[in-house]
Amino acid sequence: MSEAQRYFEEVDLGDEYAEEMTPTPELVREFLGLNPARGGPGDGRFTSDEGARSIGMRAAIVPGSMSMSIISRLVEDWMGPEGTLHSLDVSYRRPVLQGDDLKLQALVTDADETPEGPRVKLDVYMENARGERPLQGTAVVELPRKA
Amino acid sequence: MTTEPTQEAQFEYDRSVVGVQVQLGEFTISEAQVQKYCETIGEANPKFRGGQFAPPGMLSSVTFGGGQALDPKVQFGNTTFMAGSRMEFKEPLLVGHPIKAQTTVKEVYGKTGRTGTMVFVVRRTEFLDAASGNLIGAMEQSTVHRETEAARE
Repeated sequence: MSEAQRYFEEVDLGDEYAEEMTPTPELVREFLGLNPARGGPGDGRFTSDEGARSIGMRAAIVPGSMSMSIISRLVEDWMGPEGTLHSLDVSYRRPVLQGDDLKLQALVTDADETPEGPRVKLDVYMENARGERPLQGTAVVELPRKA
Repeated sequence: MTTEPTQEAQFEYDRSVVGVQVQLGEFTISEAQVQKYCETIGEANPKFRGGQFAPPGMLSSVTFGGGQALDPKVQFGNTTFMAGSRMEFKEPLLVGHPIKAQTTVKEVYGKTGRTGTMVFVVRRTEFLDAASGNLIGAMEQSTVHRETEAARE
């Protein structure tokens, strides 16, 4: 995790940034507890292995909104406090199982000075220990220039 | 109910809800909620520790009081999953500032691929500054309806 500011001039195509995260059942409970009114699909897929198995999963899974939050954290950590996240577009390819050790990865694919400011495009994904990528997507951020 | 043909299956849904915008109500993000959210997902950006800004990703986990999103009542498959999310952020998400949300069922469509036939529901939710009405951000979420063996048992 980084607290440093990243500047547009420091970014090169192909730059990589990685973090790790294990969404344990406890963290999933805390995430769901952030907004108890939200509820869920009602089949227990987020709260029990049995519920998840009833819909064909191997074990309890992580809510998609939590996976989205985890990958947005990767981008927000990468860009630093003066960066601005403009968009995040993700596809859920397969379920994220609770307790999976996840590698969160960002790869710079474009960096361009636009009329709106210096923009950087990132490919982002999470990968589990089985080599699967349950979530993949792209993010567009604006980085400050060095004074 | 309208019946839509796909390559291998037909499905029914309530077409009358497509394109109808529903107000979901208001929500104000507190500093305590930001701290808890950051602890839970491991957010380390110091921008979100000062009590002024909330992580934009929080918008995907907020529930608004009041209105209920419309349900196209898709009659296909026996379970649903999230398929994709696209979020756009136009303004900073501020702690203590009321925001309101409005949502629309944008599209319902069927698709047949390697794993069979699926039906997608695309919803667009807009988040607005409750005072000015300015757009803070928007989220398009697609949910897939499909048949799974386990859910049939």
